[in-house]
Amino acid sequence: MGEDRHFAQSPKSDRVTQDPIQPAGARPVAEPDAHGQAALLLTESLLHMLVESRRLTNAQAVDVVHSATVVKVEVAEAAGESTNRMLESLALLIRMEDSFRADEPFGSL
Amino acid sequence: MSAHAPLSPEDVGLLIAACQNQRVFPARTDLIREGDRPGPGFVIMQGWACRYKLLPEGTRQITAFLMPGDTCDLHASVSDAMEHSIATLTAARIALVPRGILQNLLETRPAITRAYQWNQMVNEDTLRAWIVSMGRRNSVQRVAHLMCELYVRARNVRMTEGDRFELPLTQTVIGDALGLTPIHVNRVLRKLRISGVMTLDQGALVITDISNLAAVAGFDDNYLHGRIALASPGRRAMGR
Repeated sequence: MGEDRHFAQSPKSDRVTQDPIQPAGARPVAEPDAHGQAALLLTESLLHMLVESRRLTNAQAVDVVHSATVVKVEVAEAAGESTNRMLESLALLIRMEDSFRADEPFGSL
Repeated sequence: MSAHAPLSPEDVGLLIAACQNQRVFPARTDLIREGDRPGPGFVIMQGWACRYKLLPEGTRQITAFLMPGDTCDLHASVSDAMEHSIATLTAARIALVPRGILQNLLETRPAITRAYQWNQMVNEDTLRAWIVSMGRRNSVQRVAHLMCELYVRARNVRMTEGDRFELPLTQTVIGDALGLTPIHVNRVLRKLRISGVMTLDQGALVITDISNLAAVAGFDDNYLHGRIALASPGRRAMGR
């Protein structure tokens, strides 16, 4: 079983455990390129570290991700990127922004 | 279901007979998909499953975790199409209860009907608790609350060994239930581990300070109603 195999290899507490397979029934999404995925995970981890060490406020982290979202739209349009591809990228960024927003005091944004 | 309402030995026998048709499904297998015509009712005998919705861009929101003893879609006969999907998260043994048998039990066995109604109420209250989490709790509280809930539910179906139980959920799955990214879940789990209240590792949850974890989460187990078959010990374990 995929899940069993995944957990058999499962790691120390601090490693991120992920579903290596798209949820059953999901619309097929292009497999992420290794560099892009690693870069995104690393960037998000860094942002969290900066917030935890109080070098950034959570609101600033939200702002950083939001800026990336806005720029992504512009870059995609300028490059003639397909709508589906752009939406996949945006979904990742929006999910990250929403996740940071969970730690914002309510009503502060 | 007997945790929800007293069932006579005859009722229990009928339910056992209704669950005779069991199948083993691999991990990440849809039992039924959104839009499908409802089929048999499902009873989780072994393993984990979830209810989920897929958004147009392909992201997933998990709306419930199902563990052994949980039933789902016993009510679906009144619907023409499923409004959500149900999938296994691990390899799972599922009883498939034919719709006709189910309907007959609900129409002829009052105690089973009451147990079913109780089950529905608990499911709705659990869903409400999740809405509160998503709307009003921060990331640490969301994770802590879910861990408390799953611990209490697991304990009441005797899946725990002391303060430990098998919780084969990836951080992606937890994130999809809580509206957080896997990285964010990872950071929160790290905080909870460092603060000494719980550890989630190698597919097992170990709660080292249940009172503190419940306090962090603002967890009150009252919404689990019938799932608290061992209500008093449960409330004591929650620090009350």
